[in-house]
Amino acid sequence: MNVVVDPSAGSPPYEQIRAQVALMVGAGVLAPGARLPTIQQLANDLVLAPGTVARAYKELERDGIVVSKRRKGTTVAEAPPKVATREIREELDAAVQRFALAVRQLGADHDDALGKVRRLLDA
Amino acid sequence: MNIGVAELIVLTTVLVPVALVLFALIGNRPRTARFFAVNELDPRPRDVEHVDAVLRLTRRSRVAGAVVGCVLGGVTASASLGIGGVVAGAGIGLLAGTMLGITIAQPRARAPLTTVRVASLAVRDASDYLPRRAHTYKLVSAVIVGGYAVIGMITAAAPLNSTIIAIFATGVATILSVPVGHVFQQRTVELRRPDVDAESVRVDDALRASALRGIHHATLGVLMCGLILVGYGAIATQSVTTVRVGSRVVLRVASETMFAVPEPFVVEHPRRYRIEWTEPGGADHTKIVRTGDEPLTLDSPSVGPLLGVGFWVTVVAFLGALVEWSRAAKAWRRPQTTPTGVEARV
Repeated sequence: MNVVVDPSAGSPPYEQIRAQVALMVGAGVLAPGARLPTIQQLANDLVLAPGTVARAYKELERDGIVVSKRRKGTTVAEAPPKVATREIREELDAAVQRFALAVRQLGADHDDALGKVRRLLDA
Repeated sequence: MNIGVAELIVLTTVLVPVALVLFALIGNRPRTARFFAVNELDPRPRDVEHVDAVLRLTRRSRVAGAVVGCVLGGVTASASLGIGGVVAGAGIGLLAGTMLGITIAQPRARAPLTTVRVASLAVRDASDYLPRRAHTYKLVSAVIVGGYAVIGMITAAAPLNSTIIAIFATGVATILSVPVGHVFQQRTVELRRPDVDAESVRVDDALRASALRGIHHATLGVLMCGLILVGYGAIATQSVTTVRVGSRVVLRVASETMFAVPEPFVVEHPRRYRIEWTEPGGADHTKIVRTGDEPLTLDSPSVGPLLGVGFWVTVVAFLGALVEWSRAAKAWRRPQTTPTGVEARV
């Protein structure tokens, strides 16, 4: 499972990480007890300062989504707050609309575009 | 420079093999095609280019580290340890330099930064990239080094001179290579993964596994060098000369100790006797001994119980160091033991 950070987006990087992890946990994609990468690993991979990732983790912990322990690292909480189905559907609709808009603007073949999406989802 | 038995042992068992090791180090040129073959990777042009660059950097860094470490170790040890110490110091420096070189030459991010950055939430754990039972081997080796050093210190001829203490301390200090190696491994695992594409991840994992395996074997190699030093220290301290009053031992010193009185001496009934001696390290000592009606005698040098053990420990540790060093240098040839374990964890 991946997280994406876009520095040109309106929200700060720590908020983007927090929102994505919270969504994945709330939707059940990240199961309770699942380990998250170390702050240093995620910061290196996203080319961010460790403090940025640490802030995202801290806010997730404050919201009861993850638990941080000295030796075990950061794990998804046993009973994290769920995200409403409606919210997940809205997020999906927005992503699909962005994708459809890009396909139209690029004049791409619809079957080809859908095929690429299918391959990505199956990978 | 006087060459004693211990130095001769070290010379004969270390000098020639060290030359062979240097030859092997310089000759072990990593092959990109073999790396892809042993890891069962698809040799895509961009991956081949990347792996080629990393392996080349690893080799250069390893050779540079080994040469610098060898010279530094030899020069440092030459200050007080004699020719045997120089060779041992150079050997340890070579291994430590190799380890540092391997650590410095880690996989680098290759792709230019894009605006949007993607990272996997899969946890990268050092244990996923290490050979099986790696922690056990390290723990056992460290316990052997520490345990043997403690036994050697307890049973050594007292008082120990500073040289012998330095050998034991250096030997024990090599145990620190375990936590240091762990830090290096963790740092390597956390380095940036440039691409989340599945095939790129496999190549990246294989490179990391190769690096961690190298660090692991170099750590074991340094521990073996510590054991060599401790064994050498045991040999040096277990060859002892004793001074007796009657049948009672009043003094045990290292056999290279110089006495102020010509050896061997036998003094009959002087009631009190002043013994003056100089340790091999140069420290002078004096001791007043009450002799009563018994004669004071200086025995010829004898060997303690750990001498034979120390010799074999040194030989075995040296062979172990060679094996581990060789494995560290050839880590790139070995496949990753858990190639799919990392991504499967999330």
